[in-house]
Amino acid sequence: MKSENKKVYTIIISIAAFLVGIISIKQASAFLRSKDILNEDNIMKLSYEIIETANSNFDLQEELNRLRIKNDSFSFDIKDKNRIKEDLDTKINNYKEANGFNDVSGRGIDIKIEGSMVTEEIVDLINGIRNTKPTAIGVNGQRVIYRSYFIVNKDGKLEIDGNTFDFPVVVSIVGDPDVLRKSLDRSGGILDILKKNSFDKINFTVENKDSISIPAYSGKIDFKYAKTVSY
Amino acid sequence: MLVNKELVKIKLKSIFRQVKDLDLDKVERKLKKLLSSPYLYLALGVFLGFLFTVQIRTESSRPLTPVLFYDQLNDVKKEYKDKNESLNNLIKQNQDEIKDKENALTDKNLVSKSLFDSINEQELVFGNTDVTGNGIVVTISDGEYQVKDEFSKSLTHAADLRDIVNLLWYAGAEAVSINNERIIYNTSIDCIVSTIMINNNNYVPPFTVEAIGNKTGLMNTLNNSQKLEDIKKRAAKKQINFDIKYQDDIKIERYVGAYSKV
Repeated sequence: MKSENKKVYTIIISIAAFLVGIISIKQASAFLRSKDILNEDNIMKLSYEIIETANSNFDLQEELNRLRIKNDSFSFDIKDKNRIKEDLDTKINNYKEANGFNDVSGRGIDIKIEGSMVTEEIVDLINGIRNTKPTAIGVNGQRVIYRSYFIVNKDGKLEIDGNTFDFPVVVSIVGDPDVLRKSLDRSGGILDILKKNSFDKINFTVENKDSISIPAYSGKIDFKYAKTVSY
Repeated sequence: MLVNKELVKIKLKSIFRQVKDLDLDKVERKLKKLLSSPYLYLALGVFLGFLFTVQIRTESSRPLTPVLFYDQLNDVKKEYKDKNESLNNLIKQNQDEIKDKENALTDKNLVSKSLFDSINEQELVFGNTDVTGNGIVVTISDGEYQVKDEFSKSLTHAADLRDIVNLLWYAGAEAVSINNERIIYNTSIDCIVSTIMINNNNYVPPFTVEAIGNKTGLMNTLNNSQKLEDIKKRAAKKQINFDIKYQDDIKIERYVGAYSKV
């Protein structure tokens, strides 16, 4: 009788221990998962990505609407020879402006860079400026184009597309001065980051300008190796 | 302090004495009594019931907690990504149709060929045409080997891509793309949380940078030990994967995206 009781107790305790074990493991894993998911950083990251994609979709939708109107009205425009010529001339001019083949002038800002930078810093600065989608960028009066490169030589001189400049240099940007200033010259903006990372060895002076003129790119853009694909 | 030590010694001695004098039969009897007591099983049942309740509450509360919010955010992200892809395809399709219609104008002698040649020339510079040619392909991705306190060095950064692209232009590249995203006059390469945004599109590693140009010149410049020093140092430590190779007949696709002026 005694040994039978012992067996029953052992079985009951074993089952109970087994259940407690399973529940504890499940509880711990649920806690760890929720800890990861509920991490504010992860939710913030995801939210940021969504906002950026939404902004991008908005721009793309606008572009698509514009192209659709253009595409649909093409057959009507075709009857007006002058209109076609006008449209195509505008298209060429817009391309030339973007490509750096036309002089550009308008409102914008000048950024005077004092001190000296390393290659990576000037690359980051130009990238930050490009991020604001300005109309045109010039450095010491030299137009920046899609294939412009920026190298700071060992002697501390800035080389851009084969031309060398001593610091201080002035970066001129044509675009909405308020937008440019707010995005570049704010706390946590690219100028602030570069200044802090250099331990204040670089100094930026930003000035709003009612009129900035940036000349057309003076070099030649060759295509020796890249050929257009014809379909 | 000394008084405390003495007190501890006395206490320990008394415990040892009690253990020594312990009546094992008495202990066994007590244990048996305890195991046969219904109160033990009542307490065990209550404890298990409590654990079950906690567990069930954890499971059932899932839809009401931010876990659902996180899942919903993921769904929204996917939805937006799909929309982004579909918009890009539609833009490309409309651009093609407009281009065909414009080409038809020259065939009908409605517009001079020189005017169209000028457009084609500008489109080539802008990056609005697919181009092909020889060059190099650079691949860079996060490494598997992580050094303690240097976690950030085992990741591919937007700055790495910017430095590579800048060096490719310096080496004479004529067209460059990253993961099929054409680099144009206002392309910026930025870190957006855990992704890298290029021309308003997000990308994650691995990154493939394709460049058309004088392939020997491109290769020599990128292999120059004084260039891309940080990337090469991390690659040597296997913190990131970095590789450059020659490639013939590279095809770099045109820029597809928002540019409302042309």
